[in-house]
Order: sequence, then C-alpha cells, then structure tokens
Amino acid sequence: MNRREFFLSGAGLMVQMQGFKPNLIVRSDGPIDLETPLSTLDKAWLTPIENHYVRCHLPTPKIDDATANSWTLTIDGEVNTPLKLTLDDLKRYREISQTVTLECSGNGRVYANPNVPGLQWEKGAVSNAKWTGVSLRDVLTKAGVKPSGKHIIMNGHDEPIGSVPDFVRSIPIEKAMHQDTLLAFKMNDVEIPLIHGRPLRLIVPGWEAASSTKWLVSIRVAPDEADNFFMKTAYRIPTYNVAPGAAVDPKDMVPYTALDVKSIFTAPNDDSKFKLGNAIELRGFAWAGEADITRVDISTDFGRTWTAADLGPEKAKYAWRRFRYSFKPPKAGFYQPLSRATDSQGRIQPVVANWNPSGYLHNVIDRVRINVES
Amino acid sequence: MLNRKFLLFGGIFLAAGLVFGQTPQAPSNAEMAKKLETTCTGYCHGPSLIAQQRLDRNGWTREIDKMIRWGAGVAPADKDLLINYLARTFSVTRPLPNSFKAVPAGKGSDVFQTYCLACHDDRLVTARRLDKAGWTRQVDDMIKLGAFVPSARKDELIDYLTTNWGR
Repeated sequence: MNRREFFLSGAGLMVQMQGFKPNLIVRSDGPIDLETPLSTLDKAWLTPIENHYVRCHLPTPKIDDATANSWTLTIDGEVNTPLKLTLDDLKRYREISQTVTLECSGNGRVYANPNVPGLQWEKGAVSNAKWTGVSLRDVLTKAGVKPSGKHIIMNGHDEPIGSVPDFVRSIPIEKAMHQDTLLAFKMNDVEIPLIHGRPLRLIVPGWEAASSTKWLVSIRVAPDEADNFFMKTAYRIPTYNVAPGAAVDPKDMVPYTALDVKSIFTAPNDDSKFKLGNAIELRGFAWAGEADITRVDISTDFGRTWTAADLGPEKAKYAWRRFRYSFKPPKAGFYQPLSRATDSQGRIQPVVANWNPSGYLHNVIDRVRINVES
Repeated sequence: MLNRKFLLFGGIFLAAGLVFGQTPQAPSNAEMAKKLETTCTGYCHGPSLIAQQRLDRNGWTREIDKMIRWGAGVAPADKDLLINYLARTFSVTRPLPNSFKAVPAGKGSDVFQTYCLACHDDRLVTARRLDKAGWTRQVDDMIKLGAFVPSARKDELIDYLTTNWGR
C-alpha cells in the first residue's frame, strides 16, 4: 500500500492516533482534526482527554518512548545564554498548573456567510483541560532576554510535506513572559498524549489555541514576529469591520490573539422534544479568554426579555464557566432559547456575527431549537 | 409522507445536478472523483478536508492555486476540470451539516458523517431498510449522481449502512 492508498483507506487516521480512539467527529483524517460533539462536552467541566478536540496542521510526528525520553527544547536568538534543555532539566523549575479552555480560532467557521475555506468546525472545537509544567517566564529569565527580543517564535517537531509551509507561530514577549504561560508536560495529570503534543507543549492561556504549539522543540527570541504563512497570512483578522465577502488588504489584518467572550449551549440537543409541564434544564459553557465570565443571560422569547442563568461553582482563571437555566415552557410549541455571556471587560456577545475572510472569532449569541408538545 | 417527500426532493435535486452539472463531453463524475483522489489527496491530506468545504468556483480556484503553490501536482489540463468538479460537488449551495445529530457509532460512521451528511439530512437514509445489495446500489447511484465517496472506503460505508439500516 503506497502513501496515497494508506491515506485514503482511513488507516492513516488510526496510525496517527497510535491506538488513541476518542469518540469525536472526524473533520479531517489527515492531518488529524477532531471535533467534540456538544453532548459530549456537556458531560464535564474538565474535559477528559479522550473527549478533548484535536487540531493538527501537519501530519502527526512519530514520537516513540526513546524520542520522548531524549527530547530537548532549544532556546536561542535574542538571549544572553542560549539553552538546550531536556525534560528533566525543565522539571527542575517550579511546577505550575493552569486549567485552560482552548478554542480553535475557526470554531464555528461553518456558519460564516458567505462561506470561507478551512476546517468546517461547528461549535465543538473547544475544550477545557488542566495543563501542568513550568512557567516559560522562569526559563526565559534563565536565558536572559535581551532588550531586542520582542517576540518568541515557536516550532514543533511536526514537519510539512513538499512546499507546504511549516507550522511556525510566534507570540509577543509580554505574553511569553507572563507567569501563566507554561511549558506543559502533563494534561489532566498524565503525560500529554501524542495528538495533543507529547511530550512538551506550549500553553498560552486565554489565547486562540494555534499559539499553543505542540511537540515543542524550539523557541527563538526575535525582534519581530515570525515571517511565515501561519503568522503573516493565516490567523489574522481585519482591524475594521468588513462587509461579508469583501476582500481585505493584508496590511489591514492583525494576528488574532486573546479569545473574545462566548457561550454555547451543550444541552439539550437541537430539535429535542419535551412534554409540556416539565422543566427543561438548559446548560452550556461560557468563556472569555483572559477575562472572567460575569454573567450569562438566557432568553426564551426570541430575545425580548433576558434572565440571568446560574453559574457553576467550578472556576479557574482561564477556564470556562458552566451555566444552567431551568426553563418551564408556558405552553406547547417551538422555542429557541438564546444564551448571551458578559465578561469582566464589559464585553457582551454580539447579536450578529461579524464576518471576516477566514471565519475566525465566531462568537455570536448562541441558540438551541426545542419543541414542546402538549 | 414526510420521508417520501424527502426522497422525492433528494432525487429531483440530484437529477438536476446530473443534468445541469456537466456537458456530454465532460468526464463523468466517477472519472473526476478518481482524478480528484489521485491528484489532490494522499500526500499532504486526506479527502475529508476537501469534502467538508462549501465553496463557489472562485473559492475553489483560489484553493487550487494555493495548493499548486504548496506543491500539489495538478496538470495544467486538469486544473479547470478539477475546479469545475469541486465547485459542483462541494458547492456553496449545500446545506449546513448537522453532525451533532447523533449517528450510530461504529466503523464507517465518519464516512457517513463526512460524505453523506455533508449533502443531505440523515432521514434520507434512516427512513430506509435495505439489504447489502440494496445499499450497494444506493451508494453506486449516489456516486453516479455526483456524490463523492473515497473509493477505498466505499465498502466500509456500505457495511455501515447495512449494519444500521439493514433489512
């Protein structure tokens, strides 16, 4: 079987997963891109590893135990002391953990109108996991960042095929030096699985997940952001509101960084049927990147009136909040409850989606369709 | 009654695509599906990345141009044929997917979700009960009418349909 036949047979999917079999929607079987069904997300505030969505830009690298055990992270560029660190070296730094809601920039892209190319995520390219590692700031401080170092450029062990650009990303030095940005070697208290970045992943809390480089092998401190496709063309949003479908000059685009305020319903499922007389629990999650969720309001009358939902007790600085709302329909018929989150920066979810050429940042007020029968 | 309407509508929709979607001189859908598999998939990505898109001719032209820049081996004579096929098969007019509607788990469920439900509601399938020969005919008919199913996964799809909606 040649490479093409292998890919087409679906076997490539299983091999790249290395026996890992999450029950997720296959958006792409190579590179691996998997979306979590909303009903699966609904089950837990902390997403189990097998339910965490997966995004890969290039074929999953082969990382066996020997490769993982001899892993090194190189830190060079605008630093006083370039470093080459093994995992054991890294583990000597102070250990920290952060529970982080990671969301793909293009989550909800399928709803862009007009359509845009790219992975056609519905609502489930988002999950919430605990990441454990060391603060990148501590490591960069050891290396000594020069005043000329304004960005860090991250590269992983994954490699492109042919002329496809390498997946290289960068973040500004301020975010890199934030105490909560971490070099993670554990996910939900176990070693990071291969498809989530084994054995070392950068986690940039509150930012779109493409900044959280998997299979991290190098960090170069540089005067400028990375000059490649995945910084200069992809993952950029217009600096002004554009008409849907309009072309945007690249000079008027900036990198998409921190996530905006957003909420989604995870229960009930769309088109669920209920008997009149029973209360229906509307549930979901709300998140806001680096900000906190302050409230989630629900409307069951098509946006005429809004009532605050209950926010769940589970909290973390960069994690989503559970919301619940008990709805007792006054009569039989069709309902379309709406959810609208507000964050600590005063941001509120928009009523209408703000279109952009790559379908990023879909955070319009969410809705779920339900039918109530007498 | 609802299911019959769905089936009738689906048949008319697909037949219209067959009539208006290609000229007598154009390669058949099956020939173009094979060309797509051999030209555009298997090196850098699988077919599902293509099958989920909903783009017009301009959109597919931009994507093909980008892929050529990135090293895809598209022969000049094939470029327009592929763009026409892509715009016809993975068109902007396809309905939004409804993959959050639960489908039975099992081998082949991703083929069903990616290649069947990208174009039509699951009721076109779940309303029927066919044996393996019947589902084979249905899948073949859909491919003739323009549906794209990776050739290497066709049998898997037929088995999945037979297992879940067999007779």
